[in-house]
Amino acid sequence: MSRVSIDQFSPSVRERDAIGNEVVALQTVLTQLGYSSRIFAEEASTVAGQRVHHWRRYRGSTRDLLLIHYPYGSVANQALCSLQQRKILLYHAPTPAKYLAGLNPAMPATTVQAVNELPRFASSIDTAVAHSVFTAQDLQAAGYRSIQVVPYLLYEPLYRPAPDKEVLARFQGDGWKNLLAVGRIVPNKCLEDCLFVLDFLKRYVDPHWRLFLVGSWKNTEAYKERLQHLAERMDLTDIHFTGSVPQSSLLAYYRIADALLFMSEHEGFGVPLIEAMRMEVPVFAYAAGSAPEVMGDAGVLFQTKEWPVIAETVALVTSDQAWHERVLSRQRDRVAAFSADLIEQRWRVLIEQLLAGTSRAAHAGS
Amino acid sequence: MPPSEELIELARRRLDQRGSVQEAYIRYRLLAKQFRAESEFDSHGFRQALMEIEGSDGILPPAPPTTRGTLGQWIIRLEARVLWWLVRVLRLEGRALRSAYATLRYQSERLTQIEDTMAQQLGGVRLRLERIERQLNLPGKGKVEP
Repeated sequence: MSRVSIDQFSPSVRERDAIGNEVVALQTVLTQLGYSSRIFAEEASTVAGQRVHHWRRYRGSTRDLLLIHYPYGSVANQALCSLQQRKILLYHAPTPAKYLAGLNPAMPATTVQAVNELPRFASSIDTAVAHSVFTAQDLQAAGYRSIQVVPYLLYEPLYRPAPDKEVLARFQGDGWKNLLAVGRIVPNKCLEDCLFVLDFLKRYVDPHWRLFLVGSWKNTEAYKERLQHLAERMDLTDIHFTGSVPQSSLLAYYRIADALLFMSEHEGFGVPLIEAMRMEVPVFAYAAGSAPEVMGDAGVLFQTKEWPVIAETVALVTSDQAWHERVLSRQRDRVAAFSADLIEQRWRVLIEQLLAGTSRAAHAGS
Repeated sequence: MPPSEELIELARRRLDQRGSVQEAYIRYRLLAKQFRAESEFDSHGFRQALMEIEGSDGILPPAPPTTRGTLGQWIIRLEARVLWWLVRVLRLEGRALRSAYATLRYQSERLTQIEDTMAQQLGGVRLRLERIERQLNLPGKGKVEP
C-alpha cells in the first residue's frame, strides 16, 4: 500500500517570501512524518531545491490530503476545492484592497477576489487554519466551522547561514544607530510612520540614526516613490531602500539593527516580529492586526501612533542598558512560544486527527 | 504596570523635558494626513502605469539572451520600422501622458504647499489668540477650536 500524500498548493511559491518559506518548511515536516509531499503552484519552478509543479498536474486519491494556501485569489482554488480528498485551507489574510488603491490594478483585484471567494469554499474544506486569532475571525465570518489557529512555521535552515559580510563591513560598528523595517514596501505596512520616527530621532536625539527598509517594491513602485517624495519634503536623509535581499543579507541587517520598527496596520502574522526577537533586536510595534497576539508582553507595543513618543522610547531602550536587557529578556521568553518544535507538533496533531477522520469515514462507508 | 506601558510612560516624561516637541508632532500629523490623502488621489494609478511604460524597453518585448530571443527582437524591430507611423503615434501618446502627469503632479504639489502655508498661518493665529486671551485674563473664553 502506497504512502499517504499530503501535497500543498499555493498560487505562487517563491524564495525570499514568507509564504514560499512556509511551504518549504511544511514540506520538510510532512516528509519527516513519513508522508509523501509535493508542492503545486500556478507556475512550475524550483524553490530552495524543491520542485514546484504546475497545479494542473495534481493527482490525488481520497486517502490523501491537500493543503491549500490562501494568500489571494487564484484560478486554481475553485478546481482544487471541488476535489474529493480531505482539504486544509491555510489562510494567509489577504491585504485589504483599501491599502492597495492607486498601485498596480491587478493587486486589489486579486485581493477582492480572495475575499469574495472565501465563503464559497467553506463547505468543501475540512479544516481551515489561521496563523492568528485576528485572522481566524475572517474565516469565522466567511462561514468556516472547523478553524484552528497554528502560528507561522519558520523554516529553520534559513537562519543558519552566516550574515552577509559585505553588509556587515559596510554598516557595522561605524558609529551609526540603525532602525530596521522588514517586509514588502506596501501601504499597509505604514512605512511613512518609520520616516517620522527617524526624523524625530535625527532632529532631537542624535543625527547619526539611519533607517533600512528591507523588502521588495515590485508592483508597488508608486508607494516607494511617495515615500521618497515624503522624505524629500521633510529634508530627511539616511534612508536605505535595500530591495529584496538574499537571506544572508537579511540576517546581516538584523545583526546591525538597534531596533525593529513595525508600524503595520494589517498583518496576518508578522514574521519579522519573531525574526527580530530571535536575532535579539528590540521590537517596537504598533498594536494592530495580529501584532499584539504575536508580541504578548514582549518588546514594546504602542496603542497610538505618537511618533515622538515612539522615537523617544526607541532612544531610551537603545541607550539604557538595563531597559535594553529587560526588553530582550522578555523577547527571549516570547520567542520560545513560536519554536519550530511546538508548531510542528501542532501540525502533526492536526493532520493525524484529520486523517483519522478519513479512515473512520471510509469504515463507515464500507 | 506592563513593561511596555512603564517604558512608554518614562519616554513621555523624558519627552516633556525636550522643547519644541509639540511643533514636531503637529508637523508629522499634517504630513501623515497629506500622505494618506495622496494615496486616495487617483493620479497614482497613472503614475504606476507610466513607471511601467518607462521601465519597459520601448516597443520591444522582453526576450531571453538566446539566439531565438535575439532573432525575435530583430523581427519585431523590423516590423516597427515598417509600421513607422503607428509606432510614432504610440510614442506621441506616451509623451502626452507624461506631460499630463507632470501637470497633475505640479498642481498637486502646489496644493500641498498652499495647505502647508495655511496650516502655519492658522497655527500663528491660534498662538496670537491665546496670547490675547492671557492678556485679557479670560482663560477659555472665546477659544477657537481647531
